[in-house]
Amino acid sequence: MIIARGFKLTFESPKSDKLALFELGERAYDHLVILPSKSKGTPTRNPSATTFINFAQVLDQT
Amino acid sequence: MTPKILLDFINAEGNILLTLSSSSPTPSALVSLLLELDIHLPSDRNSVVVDHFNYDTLSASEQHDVVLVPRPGILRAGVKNYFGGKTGDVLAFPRGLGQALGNASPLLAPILRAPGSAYSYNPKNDVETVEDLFAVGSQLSLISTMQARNSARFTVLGSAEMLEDKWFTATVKGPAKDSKDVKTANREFAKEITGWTFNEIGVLKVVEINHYLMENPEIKNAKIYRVKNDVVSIFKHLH
Repeated sequence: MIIARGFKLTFESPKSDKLALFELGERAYDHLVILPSKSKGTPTRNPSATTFINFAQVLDQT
Repeated sequence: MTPKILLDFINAEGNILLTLSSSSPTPSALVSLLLELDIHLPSDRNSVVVDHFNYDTLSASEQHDVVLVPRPGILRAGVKNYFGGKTGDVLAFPRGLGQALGNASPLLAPILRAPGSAYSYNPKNDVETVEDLFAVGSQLSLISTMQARNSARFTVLGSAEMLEDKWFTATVKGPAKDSKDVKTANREFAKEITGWTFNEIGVLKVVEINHYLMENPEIKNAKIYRVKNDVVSIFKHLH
């Protein structure tokens, strides 16, 4: 649905090393969608807090 | 990923759609990001919004956690409703997390409020009566949005499931005796929510600016005015 509207999608896990919202001080993406993760990790086991959300980052082509 | 990076992203005019779910606990980084914006989540991580009078009898006859909500009405007089849809539209809000919004921020607005009989509770605390409710009825915002001063938009959608294909085409039925099977309006609504968040709809665009001295309308758009000059400015905009 969203691709039909001219958006380009990039999916990244918050665990990924490649994930960077900024590149050389500029925004790398126009929009960001944060989805809940299916991961069963609990905050106590995984204190870095960011590891159980999945990212879908949306790059606007227009 | 820290709340700071996400705030930086908003400050750099990036838009964020944050989806939550009652079935996976919200990371504390996101909870604290939301707190910064005066959006409060139930402290109980397993909370879910239920409504014993407005639930889908086809998919949640026991749990009552697929809440059926009509399209939102106008937020306040003089504000355009981008999410009104057609009358009779039904939205399915499955296993979602409700939010409570602080009163302090004028930038914050609920897009979709819970029905009057909805409330948020933890199904794992299986007791007869629910005490210390986080929020009830229209105090619960199911979808909230914040437009920052730089026009960046941040939307919290309490039920990520709402965007799943399954609910785009689902047929639901309320508990009332005269309820009929209806198709959800989730697909159209999802388009509006993403359209709003990603600056496709409801964006003011100034196409013409004119200004002149009040006592001398002939000279348009002068380069300078003096202190205490009365000036007329005219903005033409599209939205």
